[in-house]
Amino acid sequence: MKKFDIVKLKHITKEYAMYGLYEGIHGVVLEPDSKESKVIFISDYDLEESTYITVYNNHLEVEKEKLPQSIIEEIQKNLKRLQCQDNKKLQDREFFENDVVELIKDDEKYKTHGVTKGMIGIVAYPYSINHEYLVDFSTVLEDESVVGDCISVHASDIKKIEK
Amino acid sequence: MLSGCYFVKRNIPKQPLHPNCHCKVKNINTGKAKQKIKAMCDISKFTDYIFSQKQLNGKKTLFESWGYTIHDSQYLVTEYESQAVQQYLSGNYVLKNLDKYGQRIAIPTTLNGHTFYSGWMIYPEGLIKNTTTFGGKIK
Repeated sequence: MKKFDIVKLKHITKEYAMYGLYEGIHGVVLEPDSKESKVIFISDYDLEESTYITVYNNHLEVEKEKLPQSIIEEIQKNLKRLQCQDNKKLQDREFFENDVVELIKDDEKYKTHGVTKGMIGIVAYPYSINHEYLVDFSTVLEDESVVGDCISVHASDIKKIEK
Repeated sequence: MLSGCYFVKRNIPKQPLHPNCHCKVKNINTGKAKQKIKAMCDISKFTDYIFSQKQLNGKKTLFESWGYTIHDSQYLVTEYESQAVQQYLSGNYVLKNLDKYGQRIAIPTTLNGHTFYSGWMIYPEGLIKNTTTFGGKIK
C-alpha cells in the first residue's frame, strides 16, 4: 500500500458501514501503514462528499490506475481540509436522476429563476454536489410560454413525488 | 468540469471558463467525434413526468395538443435523441448555463411542425443527456 494509491473497499464490516461505507467504494490512500491505512473515501453520488477512515489493508484492493500528478498536487494542497473529514459519516443519497420532486420552500435564490414553492420538477443530473441537486422546474403556461428554469436546489428544499 | 467535452469550434464556451482557468482546447478528428457522439433521453421523462396523470407542469397538455400520448413515449425518446445528435454535430445549439454541474445547451427540436428548444447537458467523450424536454418555442 503506497500513498496516493487508488483503492477499492472489498470487504465491509459493521464499523465501516457506520460511516456510510459500502463494498466497492473507491478511495485514495493518504497515510499508508503496514496493517492499516488511512484512506479518503469519495462518495459515488455526491461530488463533494468524502470521509477519512482507517481501514485494514487486507480489506482493500489496489486499483491498476494511478492518480495523475495534477490530482496528487490538488490533494496535497487540500490535505488539511480532507483530513477534517476524519470519521465523518457519508450521508445517504436523497434523490436520483429523473426523480420527480416538489419545491417545498421559497427562497430568493430560487425566485430569481421564477421557481416558487409548490412547483414540480425532475432531477436532471446523476450526482449531487454538497447535497444540492440540479432540477428542471420549467413549467408551461396556457399560452405555451415557459416559467421556471433548470436550477440547483438543496436536498432539504425538495421532496419526492410518488408516481 | 468540461474536461473531455466536445464542442463545434465555432460554438465553444468563452475562455477563461473559471478563475485560475488553465483549460485548453484540443482539436479532435471529426470522424472520431461522429463515432462517439451519443444523445440520451430517459423514457421516464415522458412516462412518469410529462404524461403523468397528475398534470404536473403544463407539459402534458402541450404534448397532447400536438397529438402525443404516453404510448408515444418511446417514439419521442428516439426523435429527441436523433435530432439532438444531428444538431449537436452541426454546431446548431445555443450555449446556456455553465456551472458546477457542467455546460448546458439548448437544441432546436421539431415535433409535428412545432419547433422549440430542448435542454441538454454536455458530458465527456461526446455524450449529451436531456435535462429539459421543453424549454420554450422558437419563433
